[in-house]
Amino acid sequence: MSTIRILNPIIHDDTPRIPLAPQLAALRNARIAFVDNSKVNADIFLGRVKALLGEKYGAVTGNTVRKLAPKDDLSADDLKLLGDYDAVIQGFGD
Amino acid sequence: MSDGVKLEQMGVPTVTVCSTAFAGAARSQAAGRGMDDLPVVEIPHPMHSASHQAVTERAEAAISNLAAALTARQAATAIEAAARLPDVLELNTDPVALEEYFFAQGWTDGLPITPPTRAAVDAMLAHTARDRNETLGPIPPRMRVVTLEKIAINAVMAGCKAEYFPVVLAAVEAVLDENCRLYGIQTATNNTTPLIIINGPAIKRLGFNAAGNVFGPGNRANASVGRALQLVLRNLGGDLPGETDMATQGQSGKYTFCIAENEADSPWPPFHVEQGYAATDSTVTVIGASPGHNLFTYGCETGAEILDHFIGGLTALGHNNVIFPTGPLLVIGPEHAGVLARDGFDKPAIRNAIFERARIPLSRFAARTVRGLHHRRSRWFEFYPNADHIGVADDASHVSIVVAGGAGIHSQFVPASFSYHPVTRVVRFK
Repeated sequence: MSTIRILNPIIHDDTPRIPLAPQLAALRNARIAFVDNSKVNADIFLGRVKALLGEKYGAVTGNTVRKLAPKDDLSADDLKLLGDYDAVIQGFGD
Repeated sequence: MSDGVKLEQMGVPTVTVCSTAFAGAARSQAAGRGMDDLPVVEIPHPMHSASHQAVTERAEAAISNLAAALTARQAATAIEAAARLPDVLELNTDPVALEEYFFAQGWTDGLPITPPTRAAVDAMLAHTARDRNETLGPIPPRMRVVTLEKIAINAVMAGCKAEYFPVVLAAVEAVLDENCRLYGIQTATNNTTPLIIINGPAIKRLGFNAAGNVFGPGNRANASVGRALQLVLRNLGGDLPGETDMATQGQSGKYTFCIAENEADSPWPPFHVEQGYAATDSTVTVIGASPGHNLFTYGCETGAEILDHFIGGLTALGHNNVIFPTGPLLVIGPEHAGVLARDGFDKPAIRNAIFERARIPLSRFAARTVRGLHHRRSRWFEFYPNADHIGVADDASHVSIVVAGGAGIHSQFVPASFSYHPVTRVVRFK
């Protein structure tokens, strides 16, 4: 069999693994913020989640940042705001 | 997912909610950023069309998983890396076997490729003064940083002549500009993909088609340069249909989408000159684009009548320039351009007419859509807080116009989306 040498057109993922943030010890009294990516019904979904986190788990729910468009990155100001919370729930990919 | 990774890096635990249809893509995107265990809670799909009650019930069903994702995080499991193939592959020269190998690896767009031999890749790289190990990127959605050599490999595969390489490089650099919004383009359900527009001496120098069938087949430069960009986005950016490219229907522009402006037959300054470049500059412009909507001006004799048809085409429901704040692109055929110019219309006049007149009454939309427009097109409603209509551009200057095509009374409205505005780069020939 005769052969030909060709160059590999892809690259492999060599992205260093980034560890997750530590988990919350408990939801009670934890301050939770939300990101609504403006998909239809994300506001309704997150609104119900917000209410349940307070009623069932005793979390302290805070700001909801609503993106202008789903694929936009959060602004530096939004990240700063969210960074003051204990956790963030974002929704949703649809 | 990008936001989730950033917040986690800031020490804030997150959980991202995704419908089942998109959870895999979300995890793949997170993995590209180094966080393959970024918590994702799945909910039923679809959500867009779910009733208020269904959405509420799904939130109630998901709450325990959301709580667990924040308080009982799973330890990261080691992911077995895919077998790494070497940088140089020795393959059977039989043409059929060679093609089948590339298809089997998933390295093509579904069409055969030109084998990227060392000689062919070196010939490609010889057309730039830049070092083959220079890097560009990261290319979304897998956020990979790539060498010029890897881009050249894909350009060979696409069928590019070696002398096209500076144009391919300029196109890659242009889509990586943050104003192109490539991440959004590549991961959306929308059918958007980057459209490449060539201006300047490169058109004649490299034989790009700007005339008849400009969006169609038959020209090697148009076909292969557009394809090279798409193969780069696929093979190097990791944008794979069904895995990270979640387009509902996609479009054939994802094979190739590259035109040149018909500067010779245009009565107006070319696009790149309007952007501030010299006529003697060769440029590549990219913009997120859907397939064009034909504007066939049957029976129209005057520029005003032609413009009426253009505006009519732009005021349909459902196209991207209703929802996105990006301005539309008009690709005007030379005959239309000639009549418009004869009747006193230049590009600014056409832009102004489209801005002022291509407006859709809000009464044509469902109430929920109007609420969504107030959010997604908030800039429009800032200018016109009491508007009972929505325009296809927030400003006349956001309407892009190029002249392209051959004989005939056809132009195209190309809905543009995601990109904040067209992005232009100069082609750097050696």
